[in-house]
Amino acid sequence: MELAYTYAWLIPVLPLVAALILGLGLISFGKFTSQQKKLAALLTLTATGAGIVLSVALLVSQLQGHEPYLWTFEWARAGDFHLTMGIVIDHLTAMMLVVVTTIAFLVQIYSDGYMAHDPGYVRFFAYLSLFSSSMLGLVISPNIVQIYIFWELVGMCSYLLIGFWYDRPAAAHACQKAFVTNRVGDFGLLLGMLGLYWLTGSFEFEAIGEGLQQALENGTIGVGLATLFGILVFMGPAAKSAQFPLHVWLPDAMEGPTPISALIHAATMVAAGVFLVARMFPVFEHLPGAMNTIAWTGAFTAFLGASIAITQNDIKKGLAYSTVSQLGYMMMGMGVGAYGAGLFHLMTHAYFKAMLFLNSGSVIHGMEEVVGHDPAVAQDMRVMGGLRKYMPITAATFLIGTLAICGIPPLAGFWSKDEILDAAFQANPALWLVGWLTAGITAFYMFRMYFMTFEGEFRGTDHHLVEMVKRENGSSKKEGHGHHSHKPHESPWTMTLPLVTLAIPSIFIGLVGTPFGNYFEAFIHAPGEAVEAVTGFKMLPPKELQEFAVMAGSSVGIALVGITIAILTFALKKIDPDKVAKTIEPLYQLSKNKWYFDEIYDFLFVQGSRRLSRQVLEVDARIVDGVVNLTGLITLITGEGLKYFESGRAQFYALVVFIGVLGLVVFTATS
Amino acid sequence: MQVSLDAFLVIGAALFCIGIYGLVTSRNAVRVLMSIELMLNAVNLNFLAFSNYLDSATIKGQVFSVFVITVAAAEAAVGLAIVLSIYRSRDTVDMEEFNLLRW
Amino acid sequence: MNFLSAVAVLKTATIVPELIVILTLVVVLIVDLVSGRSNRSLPTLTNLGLTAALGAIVWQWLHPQTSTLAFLGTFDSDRLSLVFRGIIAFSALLTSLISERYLLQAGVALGEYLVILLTATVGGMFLAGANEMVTIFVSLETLSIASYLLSGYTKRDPRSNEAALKYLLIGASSSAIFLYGMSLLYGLSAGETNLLRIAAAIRHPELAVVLAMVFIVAGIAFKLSAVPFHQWTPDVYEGSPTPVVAFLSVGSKAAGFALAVRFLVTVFHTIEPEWHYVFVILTILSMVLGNVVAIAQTSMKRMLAYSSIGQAGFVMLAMIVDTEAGYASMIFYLLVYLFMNMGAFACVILFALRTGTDQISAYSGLYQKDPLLTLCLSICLLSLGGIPPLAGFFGKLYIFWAGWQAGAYGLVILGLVMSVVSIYYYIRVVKQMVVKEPQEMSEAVMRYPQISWVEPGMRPLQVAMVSTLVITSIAGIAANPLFGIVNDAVTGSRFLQASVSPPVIVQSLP
Repeated sequence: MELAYTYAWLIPVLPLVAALILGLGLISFGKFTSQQKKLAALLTLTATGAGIVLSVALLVSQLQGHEPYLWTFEWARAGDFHLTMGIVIDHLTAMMLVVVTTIAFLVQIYSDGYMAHDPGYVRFFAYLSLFSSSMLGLVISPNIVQIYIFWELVGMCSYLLIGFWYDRPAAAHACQKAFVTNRVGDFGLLLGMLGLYWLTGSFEFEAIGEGLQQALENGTIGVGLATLFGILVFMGPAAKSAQFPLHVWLPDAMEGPTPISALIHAATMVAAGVFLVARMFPVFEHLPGAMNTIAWTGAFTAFLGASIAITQNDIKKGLAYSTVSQLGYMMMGMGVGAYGAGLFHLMTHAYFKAMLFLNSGSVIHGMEEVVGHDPAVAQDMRVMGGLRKYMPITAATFLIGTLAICGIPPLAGFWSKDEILDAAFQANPALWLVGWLTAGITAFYMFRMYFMTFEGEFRGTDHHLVEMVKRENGSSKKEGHGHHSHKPHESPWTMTLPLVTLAIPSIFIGLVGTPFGNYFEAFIHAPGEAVEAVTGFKMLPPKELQEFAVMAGSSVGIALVGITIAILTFALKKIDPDKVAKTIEPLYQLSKNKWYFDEIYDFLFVQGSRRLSRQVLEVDARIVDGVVNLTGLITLITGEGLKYFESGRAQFYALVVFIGVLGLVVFTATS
Repeated sequence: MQVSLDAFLVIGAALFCIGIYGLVTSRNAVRVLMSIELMLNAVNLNFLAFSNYLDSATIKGQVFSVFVITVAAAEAAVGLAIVLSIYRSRDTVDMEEFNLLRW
Repeated sequence: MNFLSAVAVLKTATIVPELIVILTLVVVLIVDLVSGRSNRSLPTLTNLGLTAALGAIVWQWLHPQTSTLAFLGTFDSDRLSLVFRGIIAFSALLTSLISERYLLQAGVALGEYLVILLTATVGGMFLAGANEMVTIFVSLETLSIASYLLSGYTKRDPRSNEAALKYLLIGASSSAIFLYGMSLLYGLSAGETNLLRIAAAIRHPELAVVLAMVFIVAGIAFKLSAVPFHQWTPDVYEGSPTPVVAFLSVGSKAAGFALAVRFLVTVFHTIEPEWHYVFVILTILSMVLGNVVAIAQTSMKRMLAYSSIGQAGFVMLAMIVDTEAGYASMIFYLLVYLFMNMGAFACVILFALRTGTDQISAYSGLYQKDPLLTLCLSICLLSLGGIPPLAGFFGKLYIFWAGWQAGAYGLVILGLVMSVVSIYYYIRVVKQMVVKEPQEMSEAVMRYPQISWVEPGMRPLQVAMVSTLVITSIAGIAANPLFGIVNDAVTGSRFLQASVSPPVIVQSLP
């Protein structure tokens, strides 16, 4: 097993090498390389496969109680300024490595089918490898600087991959939005990092935590200041994990190819925020203010995401808001101190949400056969329906994912969500209430999606409906010639195999974290938290069992309520959704327009910054004219004397120089 | 009659300001270059005065002003060359006409 | 005194790099004169000469002298000046590499251009080590006058002419102000021109000293194009030949910083708070105005002009921190800035050569046609924006870290905000190039010629592009040698050591 640790550095390096080979090939022999599809896929899969083997070996070793492994080297040193880099393998890392490598592997297999006819196939695989490498590098980072570096790299890859396809004009700003939003978060993160370094003199997680605790106990720093830095650090995770108010980029990021949505924007990168909070847990746990901020941000985001997901017609947008909502749950779990529960949900969610996204890709793939390659239509659930008949495997796995996310026992989502809600209830019943209500909404919108997509009659051949949807989504594409058939078909095996494979953890992985034998929490718990070893499944004492039954019962109950309403509305048509929408028009519009966040941000920041820039430019330009006008005024007053001032521009630059000198003299002399 | 150091400095400062005024207000590019010469000569006056009153043994200021004069000549040569080349292409040396580059 | 003993007394060996450049200059001039217009070897000669000069600098670095003052104290060849001279010579080398094709295509003579470029390089290199006011003035003017000529080099282009005239007018007035400041210092020190002696002579901070300081700062700020002495920058950058702009934005700026550090730290230690105060103002204005206005630009060269104003703001932030780490981070940033900015300009030149435009919108969809150019420009711009793990990120991180350590919290926060702003306009270009569908391709890219590197002068451009690309990508990850160099430069400089020994805390933003 020691061997696995010795070669642990290969886990991120192998995909990087694969990416470099493909990238260099593309730059030097573009045409030739882009034709080597099978070779590129094989290379990428080999690199990731080796990663899986190593990760599993590490996980097994950690499960057997191996000491956490730390290897560092001094990477840069200049005076007092030094940075160390390295690898840390502990319980958390081992789990994340396995999750990331397995999902990446399956997504790569899936991409082979999904991207088969795309001219950018090889480039796509190069990006995928680069992303996997950066994400794995992030996971094994022993200090916050290294995390930050990989943090930016995964953001960069996500940016490249969102922009991989660009066929919807409305989405022209999606990747820029993602980048700028993330930069806002990273700005906070960097500032928080510097602040914490200033307070504690370290970039290592444990050391920062200890230093902070000591400093707080000695009273050398105020709690307020430390909390401020904590919240600044949290801005980074908030942006990456799409937490309110920085959540706006994630749904737009769905413009990228669907495998990317599954890998990056559902399973791994967006979870990096939760991961960082987990890593920084030794810091946050001393700062109740920061913890509360995290918890409430999470709770609000969970509700916000769910409330928007109800009205989305784009299948990927719906799933995206569902992701926002589920990430909110994880953050809430972290915020109330349920370290294990939050990470448990991260893991279960990674599997079932990756599967759901791959499902949506499979559905879109099938729909494109009928309505043509126009995402404005092919992703719209209003033209789907009845797909179960044509795509049985996709439908079955989607149903499993839906049940898992709704929290129906014994599927994965039930156990993790229940644990978070339990912890939230003990921390603050109000938080629990928000989470509980959200669970109901979640069940409703997920089943809405399922029914609209897979049940009922197939509506994709209804040309009036298709045209209407096109108009509403602002698609400019002409009627394509690519109508091969009037029936969607099941996807090839390279796409269904990952679906079926992911269905297995989606059903069973929750069983490692049941209250009857919480193996997960025994393995992954907050540093310093005492957790008794689990020897096997056992019955809970009656009191705890009762508590569990009440909590679980209530969350299953509300999920069932949500499902029932969804069945009544979309399967049995007992309730007319349009009528309901009419009666609560403002709320409906609020949800449909995503609480108007895009409009508000656009007005406040985008327009604002453009205007500011233009104004500053004007000022800079107008200094000259301003001086001209001013001197014009003086000329009026003093007559002919100064009329020569109105000469060429270059001389006014000189004048500005002289005025600048004069101004500086006055400022300096008087200060 | 003994002239004080201050008198030289005041004249130097005045000359410098006249140079600035000429630089900013002239429309003819050659006059602008002449104004720059005026500013440099104001500095020369300063150097000579200081050199005479404070450093009469090593007269570094006078040496400095020789360098300033030399460099000013070079600068003027380059400046006139540029003005000439502009005149060839644009047929004018009016500063107001030079506004191809702007915001 | 015979020649050899004069050489020994003056320690002429310290200026071997400059002598090599001067020799190259003369050789290029003579070869150009003798062999006529069609000579192909001139750029090669220049590159060889500059490489030899860089080699001499490296040799001097490896064999440090105990006493670094030469020429009776007028020239200081300490490690700080060596680093700056290296940066300037390197930027000249890269400029010469990226110029050849541009000049051939513009149809102007190569020989004079290279001679003037080398003259500017000599001026900059002497300026980096000059320790006496006459030397400073003469080398500054050598650099400046050569720069005026360079910016007006494409003399049939009225825009180039106008840029040169504007540059000359503002430059000459700034140097007049600078000179006036120096004349005041000469008087205040009762007849001293050596910086160290002036510092010793000025004991009492009085108004006249402050006045002289502001005048001198204004003269230097012109070279740094710090706001409000920046207004020439966009015009000159837009009008001048692009390779010249590359040199102005890196080599000339580095020389300005070398002068700033040496002059201000040595002479004005008695009025340190005042000159810090002045530079705080310049830093804030430069960072804000440079980065904010860059957003609104549509021409790549103007955008890079404003971005260079903003970048100078970051470097000034490192300078006014006035700690060992601050100066080290300043040099480190200049080193990485040399490569990333030169790389960006190399790409802009290549694009302009192939399409004839430098509008930002013309870059749309470039990825489809020229992946190498896209990659290189993207990496350089992202590095300028400070995206890890590229070199620029570590440069900024080091600066901010040094600033934070010294307690300049306000400036650091402002710097962070402005670096976020800067991302926006750099990313805009990258987005244009990478993520546009074929149908959104710009006209210029649509007509993009077949990529070929066989035309005369293309290979050097390719070499410059690829080497800056590699260094920009690697320098961040393998930064330890660079950190070693900048640290040695700061510890090996006597006047800086004297300045930083009592750590001074800069006043933060009000």
